[in-house]
Amino acid sequence: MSEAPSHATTVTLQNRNGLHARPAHLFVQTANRFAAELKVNRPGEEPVNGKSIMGIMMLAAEHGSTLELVADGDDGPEMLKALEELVAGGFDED
Amino acid sequence: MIAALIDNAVIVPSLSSTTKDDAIVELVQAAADANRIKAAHRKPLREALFAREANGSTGIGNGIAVPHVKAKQITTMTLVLGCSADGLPYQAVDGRDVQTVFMILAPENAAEDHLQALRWVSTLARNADFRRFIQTATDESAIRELLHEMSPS
Repeated sequence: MSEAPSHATTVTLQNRNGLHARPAHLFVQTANRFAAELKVNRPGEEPVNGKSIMGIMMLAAEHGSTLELVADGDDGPEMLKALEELVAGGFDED
Repeated sequence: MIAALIDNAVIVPSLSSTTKDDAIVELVQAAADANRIKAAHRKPLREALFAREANGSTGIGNGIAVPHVKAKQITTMTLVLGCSADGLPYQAVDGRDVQTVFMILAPENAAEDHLQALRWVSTLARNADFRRFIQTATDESAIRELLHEMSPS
């Protein structure tokens, strides 16, 4: 079994409503453009699958929440960059 | 079976109706518009759905309702899903308004599939994360993707 490179970053949700349906779907759609695996967790909590809508909904992440993102795979850095941009842009919501 | 039901589902992300009866009419019309049922069958199906509701509301609580009918006019079991952000008065068991209507139209001879679909919907209805998504979702493809995620594997 080969060890995939692991990459991590931390984001803070800027959009007013946190990860409700539309931003959760956008997040998962963006993650699924990449091959790397993605785990997402709130600090100190269990990670969820960042490529699953239900996974993201289970975070119940609200405005101001901090999320830790860990990507495993060759295109992990590109995936994390795309997700950071999506979150920093407030999901084009406001 | 559930995967095919989701692929074939008719989804109305934003119901214009504000009452239970109007929502049933609107969803039956959506099924006809999508050619899942014949226009001529709208009336008997509406009447069967109303009769079922008169027998006891299909509002199962937590903002979810499951109006359903088995009828000879239906050839393929079909899910017609309607969402109402404002909620509909529905005489639900918990008295709360209904935001999500899972209408299930089944052929007369599909008893087992029909039960399986109803069981699946009741599993979804018990999932708080699912409800939080479906009650704020406005995008048809997002709803379909989530339903696929939530289908039994």
